[in-house]
Amino acid sequence: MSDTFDIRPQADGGQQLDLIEQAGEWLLRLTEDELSPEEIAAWLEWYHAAPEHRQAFDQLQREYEQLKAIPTTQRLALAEQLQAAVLATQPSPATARANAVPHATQHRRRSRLGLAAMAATVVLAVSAGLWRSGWLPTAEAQTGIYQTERGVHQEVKLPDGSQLALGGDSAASFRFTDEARYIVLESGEAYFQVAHDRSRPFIVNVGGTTVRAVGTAFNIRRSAERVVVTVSEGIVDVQRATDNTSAEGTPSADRGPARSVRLSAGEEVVLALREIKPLTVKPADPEAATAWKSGRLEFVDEPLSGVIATINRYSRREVVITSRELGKLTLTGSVMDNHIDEWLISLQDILPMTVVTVSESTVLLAPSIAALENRELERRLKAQKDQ
Amino acid sequence: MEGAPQDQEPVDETAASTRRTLVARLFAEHNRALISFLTARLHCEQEAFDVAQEAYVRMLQLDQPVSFHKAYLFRIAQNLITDRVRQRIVRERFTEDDVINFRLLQVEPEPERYAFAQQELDQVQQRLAELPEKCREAFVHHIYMDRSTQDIAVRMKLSERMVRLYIVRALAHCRGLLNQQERPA
Repeated sequence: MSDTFDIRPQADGGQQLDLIEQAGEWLLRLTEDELSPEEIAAWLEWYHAAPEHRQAFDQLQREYEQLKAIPTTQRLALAEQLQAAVLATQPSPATARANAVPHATQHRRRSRLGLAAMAATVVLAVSAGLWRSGWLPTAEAQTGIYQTERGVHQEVKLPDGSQLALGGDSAASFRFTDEARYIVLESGEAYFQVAHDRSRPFIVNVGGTTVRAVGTAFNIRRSAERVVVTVSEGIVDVQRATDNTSAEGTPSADRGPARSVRLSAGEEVVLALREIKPLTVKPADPEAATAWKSGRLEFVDEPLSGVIATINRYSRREVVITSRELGKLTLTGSVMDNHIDEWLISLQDILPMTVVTVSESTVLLAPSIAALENRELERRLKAQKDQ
Repeated sequence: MEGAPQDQEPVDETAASTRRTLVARLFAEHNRALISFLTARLHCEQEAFDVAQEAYVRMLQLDQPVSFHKAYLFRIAQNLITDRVRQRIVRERFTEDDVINFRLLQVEPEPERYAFAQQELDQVQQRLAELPEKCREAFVHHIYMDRSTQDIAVRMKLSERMVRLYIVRALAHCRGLLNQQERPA
């Protein structure tokens, strides 16, 4: 342990930063899974060696815990916001072109895309309100954000002439430069009809995935756990960003076909956000995928958790699944977004669950009591057998 | 307690009293460290206090006169943490608790003192944006996305030591921006 650790008493007291680094290294070591009694003892020795040690450690720990105590979704939003801000402060294409040799310009372009992809990796679920905080630096680019309320759709025309249809409780922001049209689907669902512009690719970042098009139409549905991209016209390239592809300019698409796929009209790809799976293209019905625009939500073999995430963008009451196991059961069917309550009741007939209305604003889907009673019975029988 | 008839030998009374004195000394000397340690492991100060208290109670209940060394206190605390973490995992499974506790699922109250002003967060974000890329990336993975330093080391192809250093540098760079609360003594 003393090999990997280099924590020596500092002779020169002026090294405040050194002290913080020591404190920080200890703090992070203490949070790690494998922690031996020897390490605890060594930390204690350091902690008690000087009052400055304790002070540095405690202060750093307070800040650390305060940051970690921010709700997860908000922290993920901060991560995305940060990446977007860094992206926005990169030198603009014009200046890069002016003071760089062509080769370097190429490199810069690629790393900008890499960063854009990374910005998306960093996101699982996002509360979009943070974008409004307003410190994002604006270069000479067109930017904006659209956000809808629960149960409300919005159709907008983007500055390049593209059409964006935003589903209920959804948010998308855009940043158009001379070089590319960047969109971030921050939450919910959107249908894009992209205006043709060969010189500026249309790039949508969504939960660790880049969807790239020139002139085409496609739908993206995003929930906490997955993203579904369905193409209704033309061709789009879908690429899952890897975490270590960043400014090094390593073309991640070369590392394996599973990370990048090309979709044609009538095809879709489902991306799990919390696990890495190869991307597989399936035939799809674009009309079903965009049926939400006329009030019909369609699901094919989708886990209940994802279905409810979509339902919640339209339901007047928040629907909460109380058991993780229940959320994993898959479902195929369609719901009219103005008949959600009735649909929930009918769900009791096909899934082992009960609808519990707890308040004006909340409905719970709980595993049915019968299922629990069976479990209890099984346990008692087993207990009897064991005796 | 004192007045009640006990079938204990007077000798045990003395032993118990000695234990109390020793635990009191351990408390005086190491409580702050113990709380820091438990907070680092549990990420919840309230739970840290609970576990610390339980650890002291366990020490007081010891039968054998084991050495009242601080290492022993920390070992007990570490075992209690393992139990707690195991309980958390069990709680997340499909059990009756799902139904009984469903009211708890609706809201995740955050302690008041952790409420940040947007301004504070903006300042943190601004400072982070100034950092070198790898440094910022390590911070984002660990603090914002809850990834372990081991995990980050693999992703970023760096040693764990470097990852820790990057995260700490980022933390140090943001130092003093958040509302600093004194921990209760």
